[in-house]
Amino acid sequence: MGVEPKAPGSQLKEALDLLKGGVVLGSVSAMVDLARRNSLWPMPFGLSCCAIEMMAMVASRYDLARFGAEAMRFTPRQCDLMIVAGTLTKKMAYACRRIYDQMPEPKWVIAMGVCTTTGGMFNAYSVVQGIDHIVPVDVYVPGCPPRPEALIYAVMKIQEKVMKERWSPLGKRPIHGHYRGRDPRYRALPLLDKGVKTPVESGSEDPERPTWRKGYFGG
Amino acid sequence: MGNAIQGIRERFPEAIREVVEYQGETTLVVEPAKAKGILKFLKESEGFNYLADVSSAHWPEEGRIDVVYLARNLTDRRQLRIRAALPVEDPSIETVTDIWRTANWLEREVYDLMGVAFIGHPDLRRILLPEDFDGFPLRKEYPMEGNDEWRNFLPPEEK
Repeated sequence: MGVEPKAPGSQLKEALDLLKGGVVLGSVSAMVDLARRNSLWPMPFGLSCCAIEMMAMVASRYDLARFGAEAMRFTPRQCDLMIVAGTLTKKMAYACRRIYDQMPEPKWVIAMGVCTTTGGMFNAYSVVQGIDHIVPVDVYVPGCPPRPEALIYAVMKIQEKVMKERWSPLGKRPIHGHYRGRDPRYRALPLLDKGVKTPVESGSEDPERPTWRKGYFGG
Repeated sequence: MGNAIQGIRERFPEAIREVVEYQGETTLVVEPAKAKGILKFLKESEGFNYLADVSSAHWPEEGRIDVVYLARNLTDRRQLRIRAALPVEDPSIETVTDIWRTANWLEREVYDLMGVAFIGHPDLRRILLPEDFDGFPLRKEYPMEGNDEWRNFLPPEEK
């Protein structure tokens, strides 16, 4: 034996000590982020050869299910992560923007491959020179096409970003992706912008991020 | 290949501006006005029975648009590239549709993307782009960035 029996009520007192300083509210926020992080629902926007690598990423060998993001849905209404994989032509740009608008908040965008990020080798009249002219982009993946590992790394980067969201039941969620559609130099699609209701900013890290989050859940 | 070039020189003196040999390929730079006669001679006398392609290139510094014909002799496996330089202000050349029927769509493509007028073509319309497309997108002056690049890709109600 040799263990001192604890005084009655000491365990409750310890628990109450832990709850000091609004820990409960913060935990809910973290738990929402954690749940979202491990349950991303990708919208496969496959346009060309990158889509094949995207399929490989989901299939058994690379197995995106390990990251909880294997539930691909072919309707934007059920998705929160759009993976644009391939050459986006100007004709297709309208469909891309519309599908992005139809996705419920919160939502993230991965630009997969060089065609999607910059137009790539298609410096042509018919190809959008980077989908950040059309939609805010969270993660860019280089490669032609990128290997499935690279795309998995991009999904992991999205997961890191999700953990920084700081969900709140009251607050409006800013979109942190990089977006050039509002930049007058790149005002590519002023017409597409008309119906946009979400506050789109090219934001950065929030300096006000509470200290208790640092180093917590890898955030 | 020498025989064909010799034959052209005899029938069309001064028509060949230059003969370029590169990597076993022969290119004849010819007078645009004589191009059709030369191509007809190649088809009828030299057995170039197949027109592989008609393409074009825009050289803005030199103010010209090249029209390039790839004629091929399928029996003895020879290929000849015929290039005619047209002024960019008025790029027009006679059609070869009556020599090779396949030139019909090939010339329509060159007209569509580069704006070269083929005189005598039976049906010179755009073939790839929409009929109301403004401009010729493979010319170097076609806008590639900025707002103007979208002028041909606006939704119908905004045109």
